[in-house]
Amino acid sequence: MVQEMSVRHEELKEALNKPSPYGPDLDLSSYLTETGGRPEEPGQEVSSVGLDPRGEGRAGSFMQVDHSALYTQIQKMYEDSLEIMSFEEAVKKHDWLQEYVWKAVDPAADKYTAFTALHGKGGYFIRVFEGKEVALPLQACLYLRTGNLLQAVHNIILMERDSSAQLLTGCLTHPQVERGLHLGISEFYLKRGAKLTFTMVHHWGPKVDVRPRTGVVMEDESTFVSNYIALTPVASLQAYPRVRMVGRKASAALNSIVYGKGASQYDLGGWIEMVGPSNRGEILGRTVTAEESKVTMRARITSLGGDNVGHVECNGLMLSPQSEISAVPELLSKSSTSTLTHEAAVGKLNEEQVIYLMSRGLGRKEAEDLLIRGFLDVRILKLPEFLQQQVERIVQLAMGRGL
Amino acid sequence: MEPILEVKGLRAVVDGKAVLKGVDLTVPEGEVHALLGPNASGKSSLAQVLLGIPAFHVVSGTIRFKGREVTRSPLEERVKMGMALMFQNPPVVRGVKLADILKILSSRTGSTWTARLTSQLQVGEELLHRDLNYGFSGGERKKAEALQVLAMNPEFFILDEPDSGVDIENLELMGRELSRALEGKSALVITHTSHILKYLRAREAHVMIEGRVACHGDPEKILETIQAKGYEWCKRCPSAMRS
Repeated sequence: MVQEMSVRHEELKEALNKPSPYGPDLDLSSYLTETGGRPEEPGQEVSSVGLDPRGEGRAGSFMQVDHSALYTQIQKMYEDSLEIMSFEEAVKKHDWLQEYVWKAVDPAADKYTAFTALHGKGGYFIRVFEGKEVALPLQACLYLRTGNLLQAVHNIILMERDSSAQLLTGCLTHPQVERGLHLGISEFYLKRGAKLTFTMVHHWGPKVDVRPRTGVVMEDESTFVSNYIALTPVASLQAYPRVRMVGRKASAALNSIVYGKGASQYDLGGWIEMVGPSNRGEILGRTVTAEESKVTMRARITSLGGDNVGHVECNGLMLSPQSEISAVPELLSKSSTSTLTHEAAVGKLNEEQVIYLMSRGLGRKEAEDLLIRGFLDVRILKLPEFLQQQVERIVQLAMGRGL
Repeated sequence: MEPILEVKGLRAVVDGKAVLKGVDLTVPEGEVHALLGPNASGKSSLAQVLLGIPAFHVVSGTIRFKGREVTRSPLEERVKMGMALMFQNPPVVRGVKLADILKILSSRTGSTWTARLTSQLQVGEELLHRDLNYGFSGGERKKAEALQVLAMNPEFFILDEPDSGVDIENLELMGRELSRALEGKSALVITHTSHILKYLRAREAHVMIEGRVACHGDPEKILETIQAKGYEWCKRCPSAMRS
């Protein structure tokens, strides 16, 4: 492939057999790697992950189905503010992009990164120009339409100095796709003073496995907010995004809201590594497990520079005795002037609260739903108003009813 | 008037501990009654047993509400029949806002009704959108409770210590609104300090001592006696001994 080729070919071939330290190991050879030509554009189903199929109300859109980047578009008023294109196009267009490709994620980290480095197809490149503020949200869709397919994409976001944007990424499968594997490499670079709110909504099928690999590099005074939302069943999902704050006075937040259903297995992590001083980082996880789902929440904050502040908060709510939640907060400080804290709590619905709501005339199911929705309150994400409404709608749909 | 609430020989336990030891109490329809008593005499326990809070177990005796025995009826049935409790110590409910509950209640009793109550009780937007009871001051908690109970528009109010921890301004405001809402309705108003009774005209007062209603009577006379002699005297009162 175009992208990866200056990197260590032999090492990558070897890494194709290297399992990830976390999550169930997958046999990559059991999936299809080719499809039969250009797929159809998706329709209204993308609204289930908060996307607009026509890109209305968005500053720009990227749409990929299986291996094909079907379209990219930028609203006229933002043409001088940003670029959106497929990863391959971007590599062809910008020689300098090699400075960023596989610099935030190690291509030999495991079989999934190695496969994407060797055989990946598509993914988006988004660049917001220096000093530009993109007020309307951007959207990107990665859609798995062919059954049993292995989709491996490579995404890069480059936020130039003092730029700002919000991106809503929706990943989903066609309702008739039973099995599949999505590998998504994402490398985000935030230059000095840049701000990115990245919201990802997953809506995979119950037999689809997912292995995102994300690396973020943040310079001075940049702000990165990542919101991850998964409320529908998946076979297994394992991710451990790593945010490296190499400058000073930057701020990072990794938030996740997960509702485990069926036999879903989630191993979700986040690592904020404060290399420079005076940074702030927060990892916040809210997890509900129902039926036989299993969720591991890993959260690591390391402080190497001085005066850093980090906080981890993992809360789990178990709705079924067959489900399982594991919270693994980890703090490492090499600076006596840094403050790192964590809280973790796992438990069932509070009966006193249920009864209290029932005393207001709610039925038990209604009271429990309200508490679950409250636990998964998207307001903790501090989303921009527009995205908050989208995400609230998604939560209500997933919960099966509105308030 | 027919009684809206009739309690006979009610005994109840919570966590294996006897909290009600034979309560007899009648509230006729359309009347407001006060339930007085020292701390830990069983007033709040009675309130929760009346509503059917499952942690409390009735050992013996009966509760009749609107002419129907509800001693073993589940809480939701009693609420549907028109009973509502303003909790003394409501739990913190993270993630659920007062506005969320009002939205549900207004779908049943009408949005104009809840909007008017919200305005009359001077409950601001900020309080409406905070996690319920989380970090609320004493006054805010009582206002939130009063607002929810009034928004339910019940037939029978159980107000458990609506005046505790409330400053004078808020007490006046809440007293005025509760008084207005209670016109023509029935209520049992539990109070330790009796401040709220300045605003709510109780027809009769009951004094609860050690898990039993020790005496009934004219609220003014009973309050005068309590203020002059204290609840300790009630424990030794001959009529209390008899009941």
